[in-house]
Amino acid sequence: MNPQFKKGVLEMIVLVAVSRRDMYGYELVSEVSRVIDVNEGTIYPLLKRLTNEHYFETYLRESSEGPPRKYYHLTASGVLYRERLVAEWNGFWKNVNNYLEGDANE
Amino acid sequence: MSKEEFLRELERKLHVLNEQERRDVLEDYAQHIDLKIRSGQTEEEAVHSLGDPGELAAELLDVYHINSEYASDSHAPENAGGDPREDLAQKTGRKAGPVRKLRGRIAASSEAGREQREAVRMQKREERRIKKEARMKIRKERKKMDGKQREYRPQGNMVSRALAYLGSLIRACILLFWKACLFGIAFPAVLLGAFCLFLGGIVLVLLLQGYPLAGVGIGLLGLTMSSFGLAALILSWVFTGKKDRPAQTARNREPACAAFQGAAAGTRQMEYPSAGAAARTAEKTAEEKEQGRERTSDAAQSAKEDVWQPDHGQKFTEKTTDETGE
Repeated sequence: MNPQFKKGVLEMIVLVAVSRRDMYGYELVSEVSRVIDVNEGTIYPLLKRLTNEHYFETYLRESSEGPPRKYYHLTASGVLYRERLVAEWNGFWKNVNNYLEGDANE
Repeated sequence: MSKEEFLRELERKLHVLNEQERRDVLEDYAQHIDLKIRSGQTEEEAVHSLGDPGELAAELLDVYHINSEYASDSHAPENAGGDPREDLAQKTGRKAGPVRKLRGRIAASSEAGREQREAVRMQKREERRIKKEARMKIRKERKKMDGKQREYRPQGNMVSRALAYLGSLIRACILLFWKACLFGIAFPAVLLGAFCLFLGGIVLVLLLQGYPLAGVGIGLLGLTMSSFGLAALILSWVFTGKKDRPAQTARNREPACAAFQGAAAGTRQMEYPSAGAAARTAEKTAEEKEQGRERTSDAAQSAKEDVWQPDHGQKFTEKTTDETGE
């Protein structure tokens, strides 16, 4: 798959995944990996950026095994951002699909 | 690539980030690898799935809007703890030599380079010691110089004060005398001018009556104008001098004042402690003027030391991280 496709979509998928429930890094990576085949390492920089832009907030929670885990939680502005991205995606997807289908019909 | 190697490589590439952020990022990755291993993968696989640390570092730096070119290998310090000496070297324009770069590469690249790293560390320690000694020497010299100045001053104090006082007195006398002389010239000149004007009037009347006094009249006119001109010149001198003088005299009289107040403070310090303080501050300003050049050089030295100080502090932290890291 074209890595340029993944980049934009990855952000939306991460936002949607975290909005369903708070997750920690590894959990999120495995969740996203189920949807798209992505280099696992690249999700962490994305999380960092979304946190820096205040779409995520983080908190530590003790785990039964190992060190405490850093959970990501979607903030209010994160919810707005997610909605915007999803709306954009839907419009984009429809337009592109229409075009592709039109192309096939000709 | 093992987990340790991966994390060390990443840390090295992220040396531009501050300690807190760097640790945060590295913890994320360390935890990720641990969890991967727990889920049944080997360490090698777990690290491999994360991808190239260089690429990750570039992406992470992009998050902080840092150009990853800046954090490239040529700028990266030898060890992950961050080498303040490298920064210092860049600041002072001393480039890291090729030998050091090579040494750094050797030290960073191989696990087998442990001995070499040990040697590097020893060398660093040696360099630190030399630098410290140099710093101590400079400090000592400065102290010595300060001491000399302090020793010299008390002896010179009374003499210089008396001299300054005498000097300013003489200067004031000369100034007064000069002013008196100027007035002595200006006043007769004005009188002469007035007299010539009077004579000129008489000559003019006589001239109109038919006496051949045109030459005398012109001569008197010239004399009048020149004497008035001279008087005006001198008076303008004196008065503009007065206008300019406040700044000048303030500067000239300051030491005299200080000397006077100092003397007063010496005898009646209990009565006029503020006068003593004023004298001391005045003295200080005078000293500052004298020592202007010396001070700047001192400042330069201390600035140099300021550059060194954090270096020293960071070295300490670097040392501790070294110990904990190994």
